[in-house]
Amino acid sequence: MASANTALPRPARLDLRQLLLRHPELGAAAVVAASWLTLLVLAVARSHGSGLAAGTGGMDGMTMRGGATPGSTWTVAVTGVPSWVLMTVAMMGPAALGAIQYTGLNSLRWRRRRAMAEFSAGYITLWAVFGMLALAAAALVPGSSRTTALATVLAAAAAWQLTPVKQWSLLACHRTVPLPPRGWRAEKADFGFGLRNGLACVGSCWCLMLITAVAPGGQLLWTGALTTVVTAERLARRPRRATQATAAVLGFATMATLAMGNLLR
Amino acid sequence: MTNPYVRVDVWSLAPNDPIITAYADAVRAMKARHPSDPTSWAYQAAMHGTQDGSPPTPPANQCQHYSWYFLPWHRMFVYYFEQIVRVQVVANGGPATWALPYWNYDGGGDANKLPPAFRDPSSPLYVKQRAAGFNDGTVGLPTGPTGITSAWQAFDLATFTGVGEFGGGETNSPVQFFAVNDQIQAGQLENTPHNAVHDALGGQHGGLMGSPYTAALDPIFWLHHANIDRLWLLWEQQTQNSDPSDQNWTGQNFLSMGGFFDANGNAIQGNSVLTCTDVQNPPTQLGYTYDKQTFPAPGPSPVPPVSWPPPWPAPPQAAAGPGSPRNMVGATDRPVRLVGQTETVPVTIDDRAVASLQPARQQHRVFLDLDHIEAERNPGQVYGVYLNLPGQPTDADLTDDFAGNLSLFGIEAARHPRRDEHPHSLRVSFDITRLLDRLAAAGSWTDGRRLQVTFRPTPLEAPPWREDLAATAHPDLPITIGRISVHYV
Repeated sequence: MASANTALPRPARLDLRQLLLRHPELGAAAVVAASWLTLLVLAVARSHGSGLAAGTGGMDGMTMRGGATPGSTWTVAVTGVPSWVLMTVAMMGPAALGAIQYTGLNSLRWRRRRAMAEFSAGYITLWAVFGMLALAAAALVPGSSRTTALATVLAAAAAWQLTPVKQWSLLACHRTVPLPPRGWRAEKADFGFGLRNGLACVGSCWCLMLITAVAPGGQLLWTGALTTVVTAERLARRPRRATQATAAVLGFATMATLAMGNLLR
Repeated sequence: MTNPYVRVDVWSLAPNDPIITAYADAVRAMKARHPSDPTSWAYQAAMHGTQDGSPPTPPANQCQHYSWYFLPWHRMFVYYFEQIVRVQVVANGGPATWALPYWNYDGGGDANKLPPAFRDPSSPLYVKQRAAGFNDGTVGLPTGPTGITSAWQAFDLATFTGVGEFGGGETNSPVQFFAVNDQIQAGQLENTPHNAVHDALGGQHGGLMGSPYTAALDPIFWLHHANIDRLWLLWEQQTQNSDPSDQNWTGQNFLSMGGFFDANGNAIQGNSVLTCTDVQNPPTQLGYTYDKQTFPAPGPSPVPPVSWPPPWPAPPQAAAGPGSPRNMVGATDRPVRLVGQTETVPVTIDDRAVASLQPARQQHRVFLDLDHIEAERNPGQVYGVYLNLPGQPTDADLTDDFAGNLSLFGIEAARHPRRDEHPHSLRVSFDITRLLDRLAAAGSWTDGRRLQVTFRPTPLEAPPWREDLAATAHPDLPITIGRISVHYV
């Protein structure tokens, strides 16, 4: 009897262990989910005027502070980076999970977490540097021109989708590299893979990310919509068709933004 | 359904047998048709692969490679091609029961040489663009357990789906070159003999069989694929049909790739469209069979599982189900470059990684993976991969230490796809469990922390006075292997 009773829970434990062995990226997926939860909480707090959102910068931290003086531009950019990183993890995380899984599965088991952390560090570093530049540029745009700026960025993003550089970058997002098993070569390769993958993703999605920086409001909605676009593009089996479809959607969004701007005038 | 159509071994036929002459006459007629005609030679070949954009996608470039769709797609492709040829054969006054012969290059004797009818320059079955020596019957494909003609390694596997398994990796929709983590990876039957025979016949200098974009232009392509189809049917019989049961495989058709055409050139549509499960049993479902039930000769005799040298865990006791997760336990830390000469590379096994394994309730399996294999173009050279091979190996050493073949068929197509697909490198995976058992039992593997992986170019079989035809160097077309790794399952 005792052996029968003790045997019952074993399959469940084994299944979970097997799942984690097959999907070492589940920890990273949990971080992405937590970042979304944080964004939601901050958005709700902000809508209720809570000090929580004000204290952390909330979603405002990554939005354009219209008409900043040149001296304050970099201050705005630097203080906005934590929020930008939070948003990057939420937005780009789902698309990066495949590369994180590859890194984990192709590392020795005892250093899988370290390898995935090194990849993530490289990947986020690239996006943080880009974020500082994007926030600094956005801060220079006059506050009265937000709708025009958004329409301009949407149109630029649509055009970027159709360029060869975008195609090349999207293809590069899929490239993996051979990872040495241990030692400094492994640390360097894991971090370098993150940098390389991050660079490809910045090349592919920089203009999409700018949208969140210049949008005058509704950041959470923009973030959700763009996450869907970025992830769909990353997972699509037919890259040209995917980027063309996204270009069409962005073109439509440009027209809608311009129309709404005229209505509000 | 009865089996009015019997595919016969081409080497059992005289060069002027009506089956061969009828095929030649039909090929001549198909070559004379306009390339826009789906029943023309050019169109049928382009359905497999083409670089010139005619006919346009989607009918062109739809061959399925490096996934579990490889076998069923090619079975359908050859089946419809055979019907087109048969109509022409009958129109030419040939036998109404004509069926495509197959080339069993592993049949012994001269069977590894190109069949004579395909070497006659006056025949429509002849093409000039083949590796040197095949068209004059001087060279043959490398045979034996370490050659490229035998499917013994594939027949050692009981599982269809997965990396390093019989039929290839799982995907949920057809693409021409399917990849996991940016790397295409063939099933074992696709790897050997399929890919290796393509490479050998194509050679270094652009032979038609060496590229998916041109292979089906060579009339021997269809006999090669009839043989691969025969081997799949034999494996299905050997394993009491271990084909996939997943709906993504059984219910899959290939309309999204462009689909097929019937004997009159009409697109197959509606209820006539075949899915993978519709072609699992050709004798009952498609009305054809093969003349012989010749299984591949077995490889080296298995030895009872033995203890491996430390730090490896003791042999486990019970069987594991398929699909257990892989654990990497060792790898190289820099790339390997191959230019046609023998190279040996050590792979270090990691103590901590092995110590974390829990073998007690699982039947262990160990795989040797070659990752991120890249080449600008297929050098047409097959490499035998060996473990712990002595410096001056005997034939027995080669047989006992053989892990599998490395061939690069399709590498340029995967790197520069014609369809709207991502470019990829190549990954090859071998089940080396029984090989490690043999090495441990023979006492030729005493250091469990290091494995010596040797890449040895496999020369074509050539007579002593034409050793130049067996040359293997390809300095201008180097192959890079990004990493060699060992995985415990």
